[in-house]
Amino acid sequence: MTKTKITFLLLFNFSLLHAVYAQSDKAEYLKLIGDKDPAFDIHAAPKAMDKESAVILAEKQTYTSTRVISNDLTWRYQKRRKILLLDKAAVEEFSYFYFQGETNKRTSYPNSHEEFDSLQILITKPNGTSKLVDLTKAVKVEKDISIPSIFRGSASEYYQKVAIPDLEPGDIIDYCILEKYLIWIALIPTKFEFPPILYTLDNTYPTVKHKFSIEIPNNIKAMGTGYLALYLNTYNGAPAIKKEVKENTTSFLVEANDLPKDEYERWSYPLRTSPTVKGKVIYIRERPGKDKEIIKKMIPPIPFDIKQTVSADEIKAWAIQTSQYNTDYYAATYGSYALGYLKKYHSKETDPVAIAKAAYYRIRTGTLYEGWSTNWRTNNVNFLSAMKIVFDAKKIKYSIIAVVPRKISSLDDVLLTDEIDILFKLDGPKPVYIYNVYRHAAFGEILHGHEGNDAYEITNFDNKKIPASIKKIKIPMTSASENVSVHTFAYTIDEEFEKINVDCEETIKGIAKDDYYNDLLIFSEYEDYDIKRFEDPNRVTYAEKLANKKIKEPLAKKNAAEYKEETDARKEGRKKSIEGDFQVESYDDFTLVQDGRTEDKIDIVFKEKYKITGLLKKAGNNYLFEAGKLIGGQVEIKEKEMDRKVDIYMDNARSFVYNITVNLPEGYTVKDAAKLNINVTNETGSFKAVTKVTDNVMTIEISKVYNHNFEKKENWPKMVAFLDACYDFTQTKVLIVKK
Amino acid sequence: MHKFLFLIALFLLHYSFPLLAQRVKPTAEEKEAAKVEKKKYKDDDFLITSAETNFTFSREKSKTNPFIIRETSTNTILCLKETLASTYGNGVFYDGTSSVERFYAYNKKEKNDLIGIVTGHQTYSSNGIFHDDAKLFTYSIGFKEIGETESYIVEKKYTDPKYLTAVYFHDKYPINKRTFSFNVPEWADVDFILKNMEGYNLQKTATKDKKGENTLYSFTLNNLLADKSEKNQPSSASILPHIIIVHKSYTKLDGTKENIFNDAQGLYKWYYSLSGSVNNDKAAIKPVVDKIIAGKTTDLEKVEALFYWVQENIRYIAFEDGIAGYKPATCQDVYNNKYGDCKGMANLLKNMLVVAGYDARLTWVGTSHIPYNSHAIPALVVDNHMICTLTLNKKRYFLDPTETYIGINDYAHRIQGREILIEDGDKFILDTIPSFNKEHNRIVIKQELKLEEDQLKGTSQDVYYGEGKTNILRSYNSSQTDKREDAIKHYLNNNDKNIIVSDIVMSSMADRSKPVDFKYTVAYKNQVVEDNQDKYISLDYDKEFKNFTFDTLRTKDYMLDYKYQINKQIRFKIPEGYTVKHLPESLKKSTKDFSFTISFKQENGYVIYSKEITLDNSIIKKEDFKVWNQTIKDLKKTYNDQVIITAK
Repeated sequence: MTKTKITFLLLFNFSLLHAVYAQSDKAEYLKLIGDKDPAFDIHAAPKAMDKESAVILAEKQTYTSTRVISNDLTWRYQKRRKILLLDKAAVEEFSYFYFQGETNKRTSYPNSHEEFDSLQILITKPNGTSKLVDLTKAVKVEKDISIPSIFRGSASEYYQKVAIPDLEPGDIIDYCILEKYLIWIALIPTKFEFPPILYTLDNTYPTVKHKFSIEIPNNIKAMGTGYLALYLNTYNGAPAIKKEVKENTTSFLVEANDLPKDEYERWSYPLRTSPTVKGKVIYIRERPGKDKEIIKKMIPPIPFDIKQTVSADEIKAWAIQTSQYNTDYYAATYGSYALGYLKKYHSKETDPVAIAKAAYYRIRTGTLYEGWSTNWRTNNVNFLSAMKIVFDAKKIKYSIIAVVPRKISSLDDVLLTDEIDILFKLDGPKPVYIYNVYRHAAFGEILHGHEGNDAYEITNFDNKKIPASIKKIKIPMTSASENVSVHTFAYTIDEEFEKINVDCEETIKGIAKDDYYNDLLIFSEYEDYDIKRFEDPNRVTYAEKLANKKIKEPLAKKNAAEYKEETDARKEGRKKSIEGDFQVESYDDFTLVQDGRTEDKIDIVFKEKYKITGLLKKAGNNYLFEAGKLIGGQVEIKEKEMDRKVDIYMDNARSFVYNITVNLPEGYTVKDAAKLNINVTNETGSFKAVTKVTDNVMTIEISKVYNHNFEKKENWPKMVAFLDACYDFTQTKVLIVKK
Repeated sequence: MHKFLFLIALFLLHYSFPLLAQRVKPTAEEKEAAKVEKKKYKDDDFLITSAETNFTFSREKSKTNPFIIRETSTNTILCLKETLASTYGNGVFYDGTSSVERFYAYNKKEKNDLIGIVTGHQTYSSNGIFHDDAKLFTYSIGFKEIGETESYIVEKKYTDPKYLTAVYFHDKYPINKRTFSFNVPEWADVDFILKNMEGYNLQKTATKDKKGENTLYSFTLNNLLADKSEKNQPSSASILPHIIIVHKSYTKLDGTKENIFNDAQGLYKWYYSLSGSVNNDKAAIKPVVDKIIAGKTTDLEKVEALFYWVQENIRYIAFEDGIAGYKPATCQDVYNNKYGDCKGMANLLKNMLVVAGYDARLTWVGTSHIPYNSHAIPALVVDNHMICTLTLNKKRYFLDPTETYIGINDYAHRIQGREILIEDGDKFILDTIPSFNKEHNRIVIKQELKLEEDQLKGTSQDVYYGEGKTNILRSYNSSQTDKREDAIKHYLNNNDKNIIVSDIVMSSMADRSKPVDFKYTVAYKNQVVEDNQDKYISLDYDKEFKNFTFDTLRTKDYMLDYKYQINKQIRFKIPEGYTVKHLPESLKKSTKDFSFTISFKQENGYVIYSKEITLDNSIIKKEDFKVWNQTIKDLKKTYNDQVIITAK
């Protein structure tokens, strides 16, 4: 055989091997993931998408109950994505592939179930050859590395990463995450809830085909003592759910094509505007007795079909069960502590609101200073259970409120209990909504995420003869004037026209306080106050001990040193915050007048002094003064934002008031100050500035108001009108001239 | 259940002992003494009163690790913090060639290890490295009051001497007395090279033991301030006193002499032994080489095509793991993976060039933050990078494929002027990569502006050379295709609503051989203020360096990424019916390292604004900070002054 022939044969064999090898990698991949969905036979992007960085050719999420083994239930979750990488940026994005936790590892949860996760990644070249990625080379991701959004999962598990070999523009990355659950039915007391499903169909890249499905075997009833409750629906224009019944299985499908990429817009809640899928699977174990009836009320059996809405009665049953029959140990303990406190210090109090308020602050003090379970502090249901103990003991009538955060859904679109928050309400001239204790929130302050949303109010739930009643209400909405930040600035320009002394007092009201608590408040400044007022009025505080010199000198010094560190850090923080807007020459003084943590001092009030530079420029014999910048940085609507695609969701209505006095050096005045007068007012809000100059003093009264927490997208130009007016104001310069 | 108990026991073992340990309360005198120290080190919570690190050398029978070095550090810490509790934390790096053997803390009362806590073994990855086997062993010691003293010992073992390369005297805490001592046996030939000792009072001794077998070399510095990092500071190797340990050779237990790094030849020999043992399969890359150079006619075209292909198609992903930190991956692996580190990329490029018939060689280099720049120091600290040297028509090209979108005749600032070691069989070639001056990186901006409805409107041409050009090409080509247009717009208008940019015409973003050139129409808002007959105009919107000053707390020189030069000329058309009432004063300030020149002049119906700023050596030295700050103050004054025109 000639050398040429041998070479040819070798080459031929090599190509054949290569083809077999490539084929076997793809076949192996499909075998490993157990999926041959023809939807993934797509290899190219539509022409309209060829200017994109990458295109998700096909994506699917499937939940499948594959088989029943004796008394156990096997449940499988599969997420598969096939992405065409069109440019170098996409190659870089997928250069490192991140995934959560361990793969190919079985984990047992002794009291309920077993889980198994796996991941497979297949790279396909433009010529059709494919290769599986070797995941054994994955390494742990350091904590401080941020994970690109396309890889981010819901759980905060640790991540691993693997470097994807041989990746070039034109390649297709096809990956599949598989999670299997084996649920031991005999160990489930009443129900086993799978994680909720809540996601928007659009993604970082446009999607050609998107598919979601839940598939259950038709013999699901054969399991014996239970049933699967399937909750599933679509929202915001996502395609409706289709049902497919086959010989052995029933599937519920959502199929969407040609989805544009998600592009976040300022002030938007994607779950309220983008096509969304919401669902949950719950296995209910049917057991005889009272529990069965309660569960059936909350989660009615719906074999071979899905539940697409929840009724008010179902929410009622769930809310009553959750808030009235909680047996948490700490809830009971802290409820009785609160009762003990009321008996000792408020025994004659009869006003329900005053009693609730005292109990609220007692519980808050306990969680802050007495080592009460901090985990418990974040659990609203446990807090409500403690309050229930107080209300029951004091025979106080209250109602249960079921509400959903605006960010997630409207009340009518609620499908899952995971979406609902429960709270209590006391009726009276001004109804009081009782939320879980929070370090800074005063009693009765409404969570701004609930404001203005519909809610259910449930009453009469403790009457065994008459069924509880339920009605729709609206959670009150705070107004722009209730959420106002009032900034009173006295600016004094020095004789050299270089530095400006700033003396300011700021009053922050309502929801606006949220932005200030962490920067302004120091624990040790309110600890003594809280303990004395809400725990034990007779307790001798540190401050008193120090004043009486009953405390040893070294401890006092150490306390003083620690306190100084905290106050220095606060000053430094404030300086940094101001440096965002000005060049700060020095930050000289800070005084907290009022901390805003209790209803009798409900506003945050603070004063500060500092010096700034950079706002004055010499112009011949005069000075240019960037007076507009005195209100600091303001929202700047970019050209790209002008075309608004979705409605405008903000957390709350709000307003900002700036009372500005500018003291000029003697002999100088401001020329043409009238150009600082602006008034743009419309139904969405306003920006107004009124300027006066008297001798060497210029005053500017400014207000910026966002009237509502929601606007239709058609109103966006109106919002832009007052926002632009405000931004233009910040760019305005005036002349300071000699009189 | 047993497992649970075991976990509790493990928890107690780890975390309870420090709580049980007996604290030794400081005496009144000790507290007073600490307060005196606190006045000296007011920003520091702890003072290391004494830090002694001793290195002992031993020979082992092991074939793989016949030469072991043990490092024992004994530190005594004084608490300077006047609060209820404070924690001293520190750490020691180790990797696949070294290990932390023991951590042991104690005080005057407790002669056992009940005081400190081992807080963990953290994975440590420096920027841009995918995976690094370096780990940080961390520990902490709790203190309750000022004047309290605790001590600890950390023992570390090196299984290969060549990886013990340098030791630094400074720490993140101030140190009263820091000693490094090396107990060098007669069978080991070691050199100590002292760096950055100017301004320090080094006490150095060398004493032989009684038998005359070992020599104890001791190096001590006193009163060292805490080393605190500052933005854009020079590398630690450039400014901090340290000792480079050169392991020349040693005699094994069997009497044979083993050379380590006797000289540059020794260093090269080791490098070459690693790169020479790489099984490159040139046949595997030949098809792609042929494809890349197909249709190219000249040598330069072919070489460029190969160099740019590696830049664009091989992703930089580095695994710093054991010997992989020094040994290149094979050319076929890098080609197949389409990723590699600097060594892998250099090795692939070299082999591609060789396959194409050119003289290409691997080349070792220390980048600019390594100050030594000389292979006369034969130690691993000298080099940290690998490139490929091509000789074509008697000219050497130094090709660094990790620098994406760099031209063939261009060199990144970090390798300019660096001494390199080029492979040459058993020998090596020393050479130096050329340096460019500031003009190489110039930015030239020419604008024609006029006044229209209170806006400055006109045209601009911005041309970028050198590093600026490479950065723009790199950013553009790594942006998402659908976002590139916006990215260019944002770059030109600085994402500022006051600058409106349109009609952009730009040079090819794929061509490395030409400068990047933008021509566009521009309008500036809010730059004109009217006052009756007068108009106040701020011509230069960008005002580079206007707030770039140094505060008095900065202690270290400021390093720029590269040498800098900008030339800007604005021709402003004086509107009909107006005359110039005021022009700002010109500015001219210069030193050896920087210069600022601004001038305004009136010429043929135009105001001509010219500006040149240069940072000639990519450094602003601490001793020049005062001059620099004054220059910026003057610059700001010029920037802030307005051109005033008045109606005739």
